[in-house]
Order: sequence, then C-alpha cells, then structure tokens
Amino acid sequence: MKFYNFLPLAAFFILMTGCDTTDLSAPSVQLVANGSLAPLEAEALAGSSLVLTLELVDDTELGSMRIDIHDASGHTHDETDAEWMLFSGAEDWAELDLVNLTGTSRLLNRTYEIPGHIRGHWDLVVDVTDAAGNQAETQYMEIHVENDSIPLFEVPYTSEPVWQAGMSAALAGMVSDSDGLASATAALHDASGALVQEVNIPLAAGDFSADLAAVSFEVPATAAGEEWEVELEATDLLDFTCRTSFHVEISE
Amino acid sequence: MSTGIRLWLLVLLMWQGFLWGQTQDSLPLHTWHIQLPAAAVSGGTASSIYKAPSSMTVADQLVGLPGLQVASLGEGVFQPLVRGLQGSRVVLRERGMPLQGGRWGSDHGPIVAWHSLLSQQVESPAGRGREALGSLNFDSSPWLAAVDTTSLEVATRLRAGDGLASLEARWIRRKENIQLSLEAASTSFADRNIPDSGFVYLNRTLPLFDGRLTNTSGEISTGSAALRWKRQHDWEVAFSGGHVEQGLFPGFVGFPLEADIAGDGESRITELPQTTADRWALTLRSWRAGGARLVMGAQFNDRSELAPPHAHGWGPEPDSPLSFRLQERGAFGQITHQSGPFQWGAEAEWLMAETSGWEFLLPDHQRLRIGLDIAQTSKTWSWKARLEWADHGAGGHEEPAYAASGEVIGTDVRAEAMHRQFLGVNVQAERLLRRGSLAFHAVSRLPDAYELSANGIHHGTARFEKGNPDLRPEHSFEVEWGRTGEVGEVRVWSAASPDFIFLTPTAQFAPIAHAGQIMAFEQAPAFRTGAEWIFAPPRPSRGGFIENRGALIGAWRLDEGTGLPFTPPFETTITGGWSQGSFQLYSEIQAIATSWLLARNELRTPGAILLHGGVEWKGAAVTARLRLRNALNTSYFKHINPYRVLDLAEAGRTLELSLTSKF
Repeated sequence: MKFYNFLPLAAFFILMTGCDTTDLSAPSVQLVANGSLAPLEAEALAGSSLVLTLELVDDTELGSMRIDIHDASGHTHDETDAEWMLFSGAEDWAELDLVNLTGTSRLLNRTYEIPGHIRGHWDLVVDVTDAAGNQAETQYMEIHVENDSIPLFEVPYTSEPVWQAGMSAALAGMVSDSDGLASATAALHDASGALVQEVNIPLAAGDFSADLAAVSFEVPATAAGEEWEVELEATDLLDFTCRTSFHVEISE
Repeated sequence: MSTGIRLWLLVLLMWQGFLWGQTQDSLPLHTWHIQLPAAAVSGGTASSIYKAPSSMTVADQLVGLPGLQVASLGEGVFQPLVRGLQGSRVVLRERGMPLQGGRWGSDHGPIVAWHSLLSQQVESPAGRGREALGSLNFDSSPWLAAVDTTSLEVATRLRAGDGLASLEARWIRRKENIQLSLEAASTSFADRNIPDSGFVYLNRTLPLFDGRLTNTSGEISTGSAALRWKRQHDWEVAFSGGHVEQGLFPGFVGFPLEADIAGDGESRITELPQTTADRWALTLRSWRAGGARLVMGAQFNDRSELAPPHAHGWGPEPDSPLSFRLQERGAFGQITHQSGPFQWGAEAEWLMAETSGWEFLLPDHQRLRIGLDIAQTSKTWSWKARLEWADHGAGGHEEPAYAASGEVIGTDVRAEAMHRQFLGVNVQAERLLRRGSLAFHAVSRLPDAYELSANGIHHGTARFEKGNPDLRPEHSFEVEWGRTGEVGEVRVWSAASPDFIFLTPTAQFAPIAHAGQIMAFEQAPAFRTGAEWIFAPPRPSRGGFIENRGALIGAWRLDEGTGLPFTPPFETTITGGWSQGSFQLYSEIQAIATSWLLARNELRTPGAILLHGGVEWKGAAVTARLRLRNALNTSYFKHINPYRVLDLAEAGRTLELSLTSKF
C-alpha cells in the first residue's frame, strides 16, 4: 500500500486540529424546594404551596427549563427499589412547567398550589438546557406531601400483597381520623377494572379508627395469575375524603 | 481557518489521492457486494476468503461482515446499518424494488426475511448513489441449474433463552423454461431475555424481573410465490407478503409502572402496547444478459402501534388503542438497457402515505421520484452518472391544545402543509488496481419524509423528534480504496459532506410529560472515515483455523468537532476453530470498544467482550448446527441501538439449534 492511500485520513486529522471552539458545557442548576436543597427530600402540606428556588448558570447562554412534578408510585429516580406506599389522589396532582430562559444567569422562584385532598410522595424533576442544546444533569428530589385533614389508611405491606385464588382474603391495617370517621368502604376490582365486591368497613358512631381486618373478600378461582385492585375510601365527620388503592397479585 | 475552507481542502486532498491512485491495470471491474447463499458468506469480491459457519441466518451473516451491523430492537423490528448509516440512507430492495414499510424514524426496517436460513442472495448493487448511500437487495428464487428438477429446502430453528421457534420451507419446480417457487415461514418468540436488573425511562428507574423484558414476545409470518419463464428474455412475476405482531415493553408508549414491568408471568402473551405490521408486494421483472432489464412493482405496507389510551399532555383520553398508524402505497418502475460498454436507465418511484392515531408523529405525505442513469465501462474504468428529481408533498395537521383543566385553550399546529421539489446528481467512478480497487462517489441524497416533517414522540428512541421542512439534499463525496489478497481483504474509505442531515438536541423541551428534550433535524458539514478488514487464510479440510475481522469508523460534525450521533465504536471478532470434513467446531471472541466519538449530550457506551461458540455438522442432505451466543450472559450495550438510551441491555445468552435440509 502506497503512502497516498493514507492521504484522506491524514488530511482529515490535520484539518480537524483547527476546529472551532464549541460550547459543549452544560449549565449548572441549584434547586431548593420548601427550604430543602436537592437531592434531599422536601416536606410539604396538602393545601399549601410548594415553593421552588432555582439558580441557573451557563457560560454562554441559557436555553430553557422544564419542571416536572409527578406521583412517585411504581418507579424510582435512582438505583434503589421503588418504595411501596399508599397514595391519596396520586393522579390528581401533576405539574409540567416549561420556561424559556435568556442570559447566562437566572434566579427563579416558582410556586405550585398543592391540592388539599392528596397525601403521599411526589417526584420533582428539573431539566435545564443552554441555548446550544447542552442539557444539565437532571435535578431530582422527592416531595413528601403530608395531610392532617383527610382520613389516614395504614397497611402493613411493603410490597403488593399476594392472595390465593379461590380463597377468602382479609385486609390488614387501620383507617383513622382525628375528627372522627363518618364512613369507610373497601372495594375489589378485577383486572379489567370492573367492580367485583364492595364492603362497608364496620364503624360505630364517633369512632376515630377502624380495623381493616374486619373486611374480607372472596377471590374467585378464575382470577389466578391476574392482578386485581383494592380501593379504599373513607370520609370524616368534617366531610374530608381520602381515596386510595393498591394492587394485589392473585396466585393459584 | 473557516469550516468551509477546511472542507474544500479536504475534498481536494481526497480527489488528489484518488488521481494518484490510478494504475494501468486491465482487470475486469467489480463492485462492492455481499452474496449470501445458505452455505457461505463472502465479504467483498473474493468469495473464498471468508467462510462463515454455514446455516446462519441472513442477519447473522450480515453482522459477520465488517462495516455492517443490525440494530436489533426485537426479533421483528430492526434495521441494517452500513458503515454507521441507517434509515433512508440504506435502501432495502426486494427483487430490485425499493421497500417501503413503516420506516418512521431511522431505526425501523421493513419486513424482509432477515432471519431466514433459506438461501438468499443479498447484495449491495452498484450505483449506491440512488436515494441512499448504501443499499441491500434481497433475492431468493434463482433459476435451478437443471431444467427438469424439483427442489425442497426446509429449515427450522429452536432457541433457548428467548424461546424462539421457527419453521420455513421453499419449494421450487423447474420444467424446461418455466419455474415456480413457493416459500413460507413462521416464527414465534417469547419475551426477550435481558441479563440486567433494570432500565431507565425519562429519568425513571424501573426494574426488570426474571431477566426478561416483559411483553416483547411476538409472531412473524412471511410468504412468497414467484413464477419465472424464459424466452428471448427471462421473465419473473412474484408476490411476497408478511405479517408481524409483536409486543412492546411497557414504557415504549407512555410511562410504565413497576407493576406493568412485572407483567403477567406469561412469556408468550402479548398485551398492549404492541406493534403490528403487514405488507405485500408484487413485482414483474424481465432481463437478458447484455440487454434490457425491467423491474415493475407495487406494494402496500400497514404498520401500527397500539397502546393503552392515554392523554398526551392534557385533554380527553382517546377512545381507541391506536396510537399511531402509517399506511403506505407505492409503485415502482425501472428500465435499464445495456449496449456494449454503455448503459442507460430510468427509474420512477411513487409513494402515498397516510397516518392516523391519537399520537401525531408524521403527516400524510406523497412523493414522486424520477431518476435517469447513464453508465459506461471501459478496460480500466467504470463510471456512472445519475440525475434525480423528486416532488414531495405533505399535509398539515393541527389538534386542540388543552389546559390542565381539560379546557381547550387554542390550536396546536403539529405540521404545516408543504410542497418541495428536489434535484440530485450522483457520479460514481471506479478503477481496478492490481489487487484491489479505488472508487470515488459524489452522492446526493434527498431528505426523507420523516426528516422533513416529523413532529412528535418517536418511541423507538424515546425522544420527541422534529423535522425540518427547509432541509436541502445532502451531498457526500466519498473515496474508497480496497485491497484483496489470498489471506484477506482491507478497505479504507473517507466521506466528506458539506450538508449532512442528522438529529441534534435543541434548547427546547417537549410540551408533554412523556418526552424530554426536543431533537430536531439539521444540516452541518460532516466527515466520516473508516477501515474494515477480514483476515481469513483458507481453511484446511482438516485442521485448525483462525480468522479476524473488524471495523473502525469515525464520524464527525465538522463545525463543532463533536461526533455524529450513533457513531459505532471499534469492533473486532476473532474466530478460531477446528474443521474435519463435514464437522466444524469454533469459538469467537467479540470485542466492542467503549464509544469514543459522541454527539452533544450523548452518553458514552461502555465496551464489552463477548464469547460465542458453535458446532456444525454438514451431511449430504442435512446441516445441523448448535450455536451459543453471549455464552457468559454478559450485560452489554450497543452504541448504535436506540434502546441504550434507556439503559436497556442487549439480549443475553441464547443457545440455538438449527437444521436445514435440501432435497
């Protein structure tokens, strides 16, 4: 092989040495939510506000920002296993906020109203780009939304419970409310979402709590291998309602 | 030094190298091609230099050739890459007709018999400057040698790992100057086996259970019939068709939850989301050695993605599972005539595509393309020139824009009607050297419909992708040098493009939660270069053998100095084994380097070393093969596979038994 066969390659490498300076550095982001600095968990109360403070810096020009708030069920944002938990109103609060940015440095404040009937964990994810399209490392933090107003369901599960097909399955745990419970129900839905059975959780007038173990469902043998859903609902004497649900695996 | 001056200097130097490379050889001209008969695969023109294990599928044999890769997105959804190029840059032809087929996004491939064990001829025909920079032509029913014969070819595969089972057969009957060929194949496969514990979708980490990617099982069936007769010309009328039904893992469309990924425990049951694809094609061909050739054809393709109805952004939930559907109707005609060393030809292709579904990605569009070719071959040179014109039209699309409350607050214009005309000129010159060749190509490629007017989530890459209606034809100036010897072959190539089309991240984010940063098509000067080699001394009939093949590719965006997206990293394979008569035992070490050339925001893909092996026995009528892939069940990623963006590893260990019989 003669030397001229290498000319295209040699030409390329020679010419590449003179490349223009290119902006390849991503912007930096500092995120604070309700006083907590990411990636720490932020605390929030249902019915109040979530206040974000963002400090954004880029060496050339900022591009845009996206704030995404969604319920934390069924996934994680790190390498850990997703935590099993009961939500109230999991799908009733989500925010997607797009902001166009200019300049090399911005200090932004954003406020989001948290619905009064929800309880659980939400994920806050912030992505930022610069004008060239370089994307900053995603900022993530968990928002723990507490709620003192609505009834509280507590169950002892750490993962989806497994029920046996063709058997009777009893719930476990408690429902409570400091204002007193007015009503409480438990319902079983099949894999298609159809209501199979609905049961009133036994309550006496003035009860502040009730035992979920008093409720049991008959699981048909044909449900083996499917995933069903238990829906729980309770209303207190001040007419505040909590609705939550969890899935159960039906084994043979 | 400005980018423009650098690029022109580069082209000048390449051309200079091209001229200096001339010698006074008078060997016959040849072109880069791949032939895949069932028993062997050849790289380049020296068919004896590289004998891959026989009874391998077309896809396996293609992957065995350096510079060729397959981005596997599942058993039925994949796309070949030629020197790192894919999508509309690689035209797939069946019996000479370019295939359409649900190719939204660069990772989609039409339904062809990729995994067939039956004999196939797959070639990259001369004149790569068609609409594409590379092309592969599938042809499966050549004349039987004897004039009164019947041939039956049957093949089956059983694979542990992903539960694949396939059965295929081809019957050919030749009586004098008439031949009928019938072919059918059916394949079923279970969920994909992934040796990893999870993946990531838009920053959400999700677990994988039992080492499998749930809901990725499916079925593929294909068939064809071809009738040939010989008079003054050879004639062939052929029909082919296929159906694919395949699950898409939860997360392919919409956000998955851990419960969805856990699935139903059934590795062969497919639920939503899923994809279906149907196609049929009808071709008529006529040819005569040294005379006129005619190819005419019509085709229909229908590809859908179905998903649990969900609102994109805000607004009412759709009432159908049809997420996106692309229906394509096409017609094609080509005539070429050879008169001595001179050849001329004309080609026309028409496509009408309609889209539907609640997830907008691409508007209705139609295209008419007409090309004129001339070519001449002399003792030392062959050259071709092509003039191409295309008329492209696309409809507009708009939908209501909703507030979080569900109230309509305006109109979301997803596509504006457009009408463009494009002109392209391609020139190709090739000269044989003493033991190789030197070729120069100046290629125009017209932007495809997706590059011009996409605007939505492309689930194959988990990105919001946006077309650019102002794109111009892409040009590429290529030099390729190859040398073939007794023990191997090496090729070095370089390509400079002042206006390469590619997807690049923008500063904007998608206005819907299910997608992240918006990627948009743009054009910029680019340079690509690479080398491929096969070292394969002739195998002894009895004794050990060792072979090596590999490819090194570099692709840069010149105005920024970054890599082009999905640039394949260096890859090499060493094969060693023992053969004795009809028996062969071999093992392979495949080394994939860490990706070193990255586009903006592209993450580095770690390298991997994989171990494969197999044993093969070839009898008079039956060939049996046992093949072990990824023997160590290594979790690895392919930089060229869009799924690596999701941290979704490639398939794990598989053990495949295949049998082929020819009677």
